[in-house]
Amino acid sequence: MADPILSVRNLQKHYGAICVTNHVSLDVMPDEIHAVIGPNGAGKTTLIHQITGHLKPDGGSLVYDGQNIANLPMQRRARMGLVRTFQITSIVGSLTVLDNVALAVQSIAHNPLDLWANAYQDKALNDQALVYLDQVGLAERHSVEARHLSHGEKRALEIAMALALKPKLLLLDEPMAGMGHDETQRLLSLLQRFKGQIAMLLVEHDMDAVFSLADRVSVLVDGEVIACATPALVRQDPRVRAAYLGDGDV
Amino acid sequence: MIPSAGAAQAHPMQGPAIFLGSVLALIPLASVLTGQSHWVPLCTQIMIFALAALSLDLVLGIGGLVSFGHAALIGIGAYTTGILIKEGWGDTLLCLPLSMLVCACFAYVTGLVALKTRGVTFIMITLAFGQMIYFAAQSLYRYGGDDGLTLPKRATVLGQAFLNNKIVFYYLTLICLLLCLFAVMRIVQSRFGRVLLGARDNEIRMTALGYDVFRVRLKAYTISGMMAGLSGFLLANQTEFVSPAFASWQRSGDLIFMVILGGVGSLWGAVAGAFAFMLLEEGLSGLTENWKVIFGPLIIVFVLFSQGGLSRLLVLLHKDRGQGHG
Ligand SMILES: Nc1ncnc2c1ncn2[C@@H]1O[C@H](COP(=O)(O)OP(=O)(O)O)[C@@H](O)[C@H]1O
Ligand SMILES: [Mg+2]
Repeated sequence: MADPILSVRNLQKHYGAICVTNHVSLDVMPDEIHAVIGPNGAGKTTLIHQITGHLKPDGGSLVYDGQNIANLPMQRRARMGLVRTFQITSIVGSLTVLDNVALAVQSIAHNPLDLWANAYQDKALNDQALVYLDQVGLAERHSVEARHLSHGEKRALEIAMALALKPKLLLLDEPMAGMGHDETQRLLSLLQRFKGQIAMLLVEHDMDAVFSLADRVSVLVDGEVIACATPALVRQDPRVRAAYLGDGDV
Repeated sequence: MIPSAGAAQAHPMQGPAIFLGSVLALIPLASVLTGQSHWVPLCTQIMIFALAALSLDLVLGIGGLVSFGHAALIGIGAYTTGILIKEGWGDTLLCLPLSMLVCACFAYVTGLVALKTRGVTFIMITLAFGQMIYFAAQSLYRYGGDDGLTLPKRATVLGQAFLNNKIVFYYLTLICLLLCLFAVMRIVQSRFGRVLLGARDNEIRMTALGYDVFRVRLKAYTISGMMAGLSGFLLANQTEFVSPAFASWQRSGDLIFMVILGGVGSLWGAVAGAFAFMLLEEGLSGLTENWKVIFGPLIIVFVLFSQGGLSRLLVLLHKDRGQGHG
């Protein structure tokens, strides 16, 4: 079997006396969509923050692509293809939709910080950015200032920016939250399309999405992984039903 | 739809910059024709501060970093030039690059510390570094201490006293200003500038995209410091005098006012803001001794009502006209 693209071992994080990440261990395989579910406040976002370098864990190890990344800054991890989206959308509101994605394309292009040539008229960057915008259904909105997008459109823009970084592992923090039905369907099929090519760690409350996409599901409750199995098995796990899904709900 | 300030800043307007440059190029001629000979030195001085304000606009307007110690860089540039002239090394080919280099180094080293902080802390740290230079200048007894240093002459160019000619010096200053304006406009529209602007709006997003925001800001801060050093070189030569007051926090505040007055991040607006500020100061101080009492509120009222300074006013007027036609 191949090595995992991400290997989290014994990760710990405390806020004062509260243990938000309690000896969490999980693997994401290179061709896998690994879902993380759990009630609000379970520590899902905090876990992603630690994997991306946004937060420093109190203990444990993080190995990505065969490399210990625990001490690398966030931007280095992003450059290695460890890419995330945010639960609370994070875009550059005053730039256009196209410029937002072009910034992502630019980041992995040759000479990303060129001081002289006009970036906004860089055809190569813009053309590539448009391809990603097309994939998330935002191509027609490319010249709109990003802050004028609807909530769902902003979420889609974030996905486009993430894809433009050519991720090896994509960490998605509730990407469907606040999306309309059509937008959710579009994102589902988009993620389905990349399944197998990009490894994903998917935090999501939409159970239909989780059960249709995920190869494995880890259940996080109070900072602890209480189960990790295929969607079908997790659905039947009595502890999971009690802690999270709620009997009769599924 | 009226573009937001951020979108406008990504695409600085060239028209007003060219217009400003053309008008300024004609000032010496106008002063000869009208007999207003004081226009040339006055405009020279204003252009020097416009250059400093422009350099501040790169970090403040585009980078979103409210540096409250920018005058210190003018001071360092001026003292570097002043000391070199006093010590007999006063050739432009040495003074000019060295003033810029010393300022770039100072900006780089202080930036290493200051740019680790955010918000009010950043303002206070840059202010503290500025005051450090102010007091350091005061303690340079060999070079006049408190009283400042009167220079024996202006810098030479290859041994010739070209810069003594007011008109030559005027055009040298104008060329420096326009070159810097052009350079900053290019930088703002470059990949680097887009990252700098993006980080102003959303630092975490830019970091998540793989950019080292600290390094980007440090580079912008250093470039800005270098340009302020150039204005210091020009100021020392123009006034034939250097003084700790060049580096005072009040001067830093004036520069911020100029940038705000012109419209934060609009670049040419910093130049226009410097002219508005200094001409207003000149006019009001002729009227009454307590001109600052009028000046302060006047600026605050203006900034509140124009919602983004002179440049924004122009954009809005332009849009109104456009809508009227359509
Ligand atoms: N900066 C912080 N300081 C203190 N507690 C925090 C902080 N950030 C998050 N928490 C707490 O950590 C727990 C986990 O939060 P989070 O990871 O956002 O949960 P989830 O994403 O699963 O809803 C919550 O109880 C939250 O209140
Ligand atoms: Mg969360």
